[in-house]
Amino acid sequence: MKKGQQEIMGLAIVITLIILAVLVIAKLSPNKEFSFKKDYEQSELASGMLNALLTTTTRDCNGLSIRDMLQDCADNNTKKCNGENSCAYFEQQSREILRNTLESWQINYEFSIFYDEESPIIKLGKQCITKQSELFPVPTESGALFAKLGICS
Amino acid sequence: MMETISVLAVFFILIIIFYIFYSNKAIDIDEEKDRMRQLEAVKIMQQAFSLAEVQCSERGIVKDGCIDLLKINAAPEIMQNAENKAFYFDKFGFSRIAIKQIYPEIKDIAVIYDNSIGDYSYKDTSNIPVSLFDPIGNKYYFGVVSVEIFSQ
Repeated sequence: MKKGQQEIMGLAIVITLIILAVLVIAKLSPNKEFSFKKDYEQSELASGMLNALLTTTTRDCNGLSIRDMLQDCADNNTKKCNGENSCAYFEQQSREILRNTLESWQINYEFSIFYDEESPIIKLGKQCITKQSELFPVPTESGALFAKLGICS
Repeated sequence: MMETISVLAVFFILIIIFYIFYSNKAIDIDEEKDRMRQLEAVKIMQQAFSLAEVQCSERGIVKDGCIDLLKINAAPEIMQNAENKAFYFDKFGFSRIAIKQIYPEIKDIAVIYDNSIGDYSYKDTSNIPVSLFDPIGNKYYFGVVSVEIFSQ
């Protein structure tokens, strides 16, 4: 074998070894995680949370639901519960429920109420980018108000 | 000299190929186990949230994400009954399903199914919010269905 051929063969072996080493490293890196349970759970959390929150009857507001308080908050903010107007009351009760659920389970979330997403009326939780979110429309005199809950991954 | 290097190189390449093949197999088995476990968890969760024994209904129409507090009083007795044990074991396996009220006050409502095991190798807990309907007071409370799944 000529010297040139030997060098080419040596080079080919070195390249083959490098490729195999890269493959081994790739295989040893953490394997991909199946996330369909997490996806299902997050989706159920977001929709279940919003649905149950809005349906819930308030503690001390003549049998009105939290949705009724939100509608009043958007329309004219006249109803008073426990010395507070409907907007403050809605925010206080929502905060209490979120604190005893998502926050106690150490799940980050982003909860907002808005007509226009850019300028929310109420915003709770932390801002996050990757999330599973649910949007519930609430009819009001001024049009559809939206309640949005995003569960951060 | 060159021949020795070539033989050594081929030998190492073969070793690496065998290693990749076997490590790949081991990862596949772990992934499959994880996939099966997750599928089982999702199945149990879906069945727990759509359990006809406790779901709210009005004139035969089921309300999603709602649990009737009157039905909850009767459900544990039926579900823990020895005659029905096999039926519910097929549905929920080794798990524990509990319902807790969060608002207006925090309290445990009921454990509707309990087949938990002490010496488990894996445990997974999921909480899904639901409405708890009180048909007597015609009120909805905020509650949580907590599903704990165990593997031996």
